Amino acid sequence: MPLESVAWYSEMEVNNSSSPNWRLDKGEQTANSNARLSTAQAHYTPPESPVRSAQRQSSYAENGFFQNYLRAFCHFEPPTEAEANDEALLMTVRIQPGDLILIHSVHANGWADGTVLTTNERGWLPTNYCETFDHPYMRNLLSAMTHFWDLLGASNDENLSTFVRQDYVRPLIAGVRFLLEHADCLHRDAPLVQRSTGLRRLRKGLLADLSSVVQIAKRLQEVVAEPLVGDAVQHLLDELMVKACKAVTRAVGFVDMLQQEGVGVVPLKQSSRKSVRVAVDTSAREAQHGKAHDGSELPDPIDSGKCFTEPAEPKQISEEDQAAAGDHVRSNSQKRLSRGPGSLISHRLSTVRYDAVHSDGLATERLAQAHDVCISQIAGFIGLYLHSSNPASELAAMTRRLQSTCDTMLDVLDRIAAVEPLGSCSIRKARRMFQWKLNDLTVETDKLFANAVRLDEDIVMEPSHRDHLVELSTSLIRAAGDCVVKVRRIVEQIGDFDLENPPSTRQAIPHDEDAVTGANNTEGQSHSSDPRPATSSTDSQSRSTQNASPTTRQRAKTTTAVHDLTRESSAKTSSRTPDKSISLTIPSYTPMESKADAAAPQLSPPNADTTKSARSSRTHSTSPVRKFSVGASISTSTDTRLSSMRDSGITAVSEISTRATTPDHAKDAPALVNSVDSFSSIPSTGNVESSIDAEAQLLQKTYANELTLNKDGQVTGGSLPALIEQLTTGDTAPDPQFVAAFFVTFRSFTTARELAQALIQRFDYIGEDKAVGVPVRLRIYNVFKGWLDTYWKVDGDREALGDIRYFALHKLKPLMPLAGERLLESIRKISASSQNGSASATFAPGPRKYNALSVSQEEIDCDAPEPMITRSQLNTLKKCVADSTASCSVMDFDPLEMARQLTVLGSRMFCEIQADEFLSLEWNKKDSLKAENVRNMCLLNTDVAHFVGDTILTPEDAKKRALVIKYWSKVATRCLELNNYESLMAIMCSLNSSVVQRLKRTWELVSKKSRARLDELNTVVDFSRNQMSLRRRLENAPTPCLPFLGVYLTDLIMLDAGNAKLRQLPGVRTSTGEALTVINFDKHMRMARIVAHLQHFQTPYKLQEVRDMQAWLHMHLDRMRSCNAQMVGDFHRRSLYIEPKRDAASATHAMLALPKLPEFRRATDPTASRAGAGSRDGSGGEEQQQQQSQSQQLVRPKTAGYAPTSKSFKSGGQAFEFLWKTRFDFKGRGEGVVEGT
Amino acid sequence: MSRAGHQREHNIAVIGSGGVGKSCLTAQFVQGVFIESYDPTIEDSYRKQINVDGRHVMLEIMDTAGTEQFTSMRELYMREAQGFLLVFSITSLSSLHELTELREQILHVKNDPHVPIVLVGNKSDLEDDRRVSRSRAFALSQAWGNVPYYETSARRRINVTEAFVDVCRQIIRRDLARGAAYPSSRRGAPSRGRSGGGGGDSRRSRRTRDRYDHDEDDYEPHRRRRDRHRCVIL
Repeated sequence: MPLESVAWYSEMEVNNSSSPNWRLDKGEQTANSNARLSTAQAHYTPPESPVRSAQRQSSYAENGFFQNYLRAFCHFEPPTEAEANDEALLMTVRIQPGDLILIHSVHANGWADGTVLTTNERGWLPTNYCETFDHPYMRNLLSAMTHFWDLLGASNDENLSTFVRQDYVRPLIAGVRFLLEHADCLHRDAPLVQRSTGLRRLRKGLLADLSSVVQIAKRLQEVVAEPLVGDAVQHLLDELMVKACKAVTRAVGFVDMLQQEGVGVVPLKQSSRKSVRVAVDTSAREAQHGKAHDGSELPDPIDSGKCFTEPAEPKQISEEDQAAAGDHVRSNSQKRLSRGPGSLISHRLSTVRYDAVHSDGLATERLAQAHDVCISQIAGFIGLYLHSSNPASELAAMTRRLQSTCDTMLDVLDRIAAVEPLGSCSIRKARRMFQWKLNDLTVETDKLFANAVRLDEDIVMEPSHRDHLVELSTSLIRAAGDCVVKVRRIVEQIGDFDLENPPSTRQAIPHDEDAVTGANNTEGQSHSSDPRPATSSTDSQSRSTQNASPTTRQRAKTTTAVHDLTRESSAKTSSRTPDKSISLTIPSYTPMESKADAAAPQLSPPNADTTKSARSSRTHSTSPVRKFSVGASISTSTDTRLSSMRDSGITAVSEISTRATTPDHAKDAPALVNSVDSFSSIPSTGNVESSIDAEAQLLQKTYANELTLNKDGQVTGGSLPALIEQLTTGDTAPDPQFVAAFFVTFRSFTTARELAQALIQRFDYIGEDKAVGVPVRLRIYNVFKGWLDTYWKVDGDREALGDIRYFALHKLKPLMPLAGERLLESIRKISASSQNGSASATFAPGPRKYNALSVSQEEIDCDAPEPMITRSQLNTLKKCVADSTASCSVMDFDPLEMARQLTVLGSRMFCEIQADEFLSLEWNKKDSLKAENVRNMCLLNTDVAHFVGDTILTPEDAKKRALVIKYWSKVATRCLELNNYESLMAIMCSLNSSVVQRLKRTWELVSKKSRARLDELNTVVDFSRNQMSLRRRLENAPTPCLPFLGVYLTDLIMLDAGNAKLRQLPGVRTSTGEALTVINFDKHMRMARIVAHLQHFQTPYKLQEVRDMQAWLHMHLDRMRSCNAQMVGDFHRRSLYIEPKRDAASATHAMLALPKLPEFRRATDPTASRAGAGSRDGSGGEEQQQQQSQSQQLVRPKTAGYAPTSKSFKSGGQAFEFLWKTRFDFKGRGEGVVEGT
Repeated sequence: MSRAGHQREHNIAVIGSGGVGKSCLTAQFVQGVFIESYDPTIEDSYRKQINVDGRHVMLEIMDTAGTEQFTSMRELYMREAQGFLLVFSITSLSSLHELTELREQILHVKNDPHVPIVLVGNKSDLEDDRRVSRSRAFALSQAWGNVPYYETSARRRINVTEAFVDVCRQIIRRDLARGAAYPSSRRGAPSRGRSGGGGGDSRRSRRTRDRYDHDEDDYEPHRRRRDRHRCVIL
């Protein structure tokens, strides 16, 4: 039976700790890059057991949620250099009562990896010296701080794009503002501030800290913009972090002071869930404290500061204990951080990225796995029953499988629920539901099998029965999904954690282990070279097997038992491994009262016995040689990697999958000058400012807390005011990409009128302040101007014009006459042009939109290469267009010229497309006028494809057809050279269509070279893997380029379908307590990125247009368009006609001979008449006439445009085709009628 | 039945006219429950591994969403795909009618009357706007050789996976059956099809073969099973 949980550590992967940067001390660390910082983190060596500093035991209030912030209430001193000649000892950090600590991960043994904000040191610290810190006023600031940390931590040299702007500090400011606002201290002359000197001072300090954060951010921005950055950036980043930490620390002090001043916390309506939890914890804690301390002062649940301002605990270990320290006693029980059995370490959920190697162990991952398997089994189950008449044995096997997977799922659920006992209520409910459904299903299937006589017999099921089963299983799926959602929600709150360790690698990792003390290291050498004592590891393994039992119960032991056993075990261990055994404990903490509350998740109260036990066991460790302890990170060196992953830049890698394909324009942001930016002269706010100005600037009303950014600092979501704020930042130029995306897409999440009003509101609330108000107001003006001049949509935005005019006249003009005048000017222009009804070129949305009219043809012509066309060809063309009987063949033209003309044709159409045509997503709706140009483009593609098919299928001679194929393959190659992917795709589609592909005889005659060329082209247009090869090419295609639109159109549609309109803001609550849902700007950003990508292709080709050829092409394409609908069937028939199926092997020239026709016809007759029988009697005659006219229409222009070789055959072929066609159209209709009824 | 250990890959095309919610259907299927943002531009945006009757299969969904007008491309999709989801919206009768033509084309291209198909009536959550009655859609599915008919709601995530799994199951069954009936796999040259068949044009022969196949069904257990697909209306 293991003793109370004294962590015991195997030495597993310590050897990495030789990195010189292992210590995150701010003195040493400042020059180090953050990336290094984080990798170093992975190699943390364990903390020293904090025995000496166990002066006071107090409650550690871990309430079950993963807490991002802890607050120390007790002093913890890492050993000095003198005592610790080992690095391991230095990995711990000093904590002082009152220190606020940002927690990165928590090991099950109670050590946490955290950054002490007061000192900005990072290291391991004992969580039982700390309690959770949560103050309603502070939440926004703290959550901002967490993001801030992540942001800075994630940045490395390659990724400094965030810092070209200062937005990332804004949430911090918003957090402080939130705090001050709710504390009623927003203004300097607020009564509370006037009254209390302390508050006044702290408030001032806080604001000063904040403004220095802003200053540094500003400096950083300047430095990053410079070409050669290096250490300077790192230096600034470190400084920034220090300052931010300081500000937060100060804010904590402020909250404490507030408490002292007796200002009650006006309860915000926080998320009910959370506040309830706090209350429960508090009361539970108080009860325990009451017992333990006999009324000693309890920490206030909210004002945690009290517990250090008035320390209640006597100091119990004197200094000489420390001085004498050769031996450190590490026997103690340790309450784990409310993680469930088997959970080793918990992380902030946000920090955990899925990682292929380690993902298995994380609760969420396991759950997802179990869920997936479960769902697919149920699906399989449904499928099996649905399709019935399976042998009973198969059904039985399936049912068994289903049950076992569901059991696995339940098991996972249980284990997660065990970890989080309080919050698991909802899980349990969902779980119960799930189990019920499962039981129902089992019962039903059992019934079924009861009826089955023999196992190998098919089970006959009533349809109703089957339906019932299917219904049950679908509800089972739903229940499972519900469970997952619930669990996920809980896990988000408590942090993700390792649910279970794969036995192979982690067996030796202790969970709640007994004390194994007395480790000596006579050599005093670094533990990294220290071989692992075999006895210990076996020991640990044997023990870890017992870990599965819930620790809470184990903890219900008498203290005496604990030390007796501890003593024993320590003696035993040290005797067994006198030299090498490594020992460690968490700072001691023995739960004496725990009998009473075995199930309580809180730590039991501290008591004097603990120290006694510590002492007594210390006396038992006899070795005089200095020991060192191997702390948490040994065993967690694998596990912590997960958390350190966040900073180490691997996070960035994990995001690359998405980033790789979306070019990151943000990086060149500083180089880009935004049109919106052009007017305003931003006064430098960074220099000498009075404190009043600084304050006003800092405390401006802001919605920054309603904004989320991703790791790159790009906006992913926000409420409209928050987005507007981002659009009109006073201190930095707004991100041009953001501005463009906003303007292009805003109509899909708001209306023009709302936008105008929100901008005006921003104008109002920002105030007239010189330092803050004026630059922002100028920007607001700029936004309006940019909107009116560049992005205005005549019909869509008209409703906002009145508002804007009012604003310009009555608000802007009085303050900024010049700006007001200019805005009015723009308004006048717009209203004038809208009255004229001319959508003039100025109103084309999108700054880069090319307008065909604006570039003169001459300009193009002078640079363009000479068309490769002869005079005689031109004459023929002219004749062709004028007179439909004249003909000329595509083959007459040079392939290059053909490619060029196709390009000119497509490019012109492409350049017509407006940005909002793409965003309307309406090119598929036939009656919609919103995306006409896109639709035309699509149709053009099809027309070209049909044209190609038509030319191939027309010649009767296989040799000729082969030549036509060769010709088009050349054209396609030329198109690729011209970056004309649109025509390339059309041609390839046609060449790959079944009607062309099936022409075996023709392909036999196509030269090897042409076929090789086509193979090559096929790799370009390859459909597989989401058209990756085409995407890659288009991504980096130089302009001018005519992209294949289909890829982008699908992307746009799928983006719209796959991303929600709104997103929830993590960690931010509205004042009414609900999670804030804001506009999912990420979606719009992505769409805008696609549109921008397309727009950047909208540059005209420098190619000369050959008018006659264009006319000729148009003629043919129009012909294709006119019979677009019938094309598929028509081609099929023609393909069969020129190379009938049955003759595939023989008779190359068979089809040229007319006599064959009757026979052929006869062969088709029976089928046709049978199929067409239904409709023939009624409408046959009429249809025949229709068909006749149609087919003539079809055939005549074709022969006109393309001269077949044998004139004599022409009429015969036509006649035949007509007959042919009629047959099949009958059949088609016949089927339609049958199906329709 | 083999418990195929190695993973197969199947292409499934989602086909239907614009605005029937194909994209939502695909997005719902491919996307996990908790994906923060869906990026359709990456290589595996349309790939999903599922488990069908104990077999792990990788599905690549080919969605024609947004490119319905590229009729020439449609055929390439059809050639690549082994199974088809023919989607219409229960709120639009014309979307159902358009499927008839599309199915015709599929049969052309695949040259196979038993190509795995599932008829899907999407937007089942919009019951009030229903324009296509269940019986009507079901009758059509029957007329198509008893293809399964599903009514789905991409928005509510009802029956989405089921429809895909059904096609996938059909593909697997077919592969298995072919493996038994035709030792040499005839996949890979779908467009050339059953070129060894009798004379006449392909339509006629397909028709007749269709007929024969139906007759044969009575003697072929796997066929029979397939033909007993029922309409599932949940």
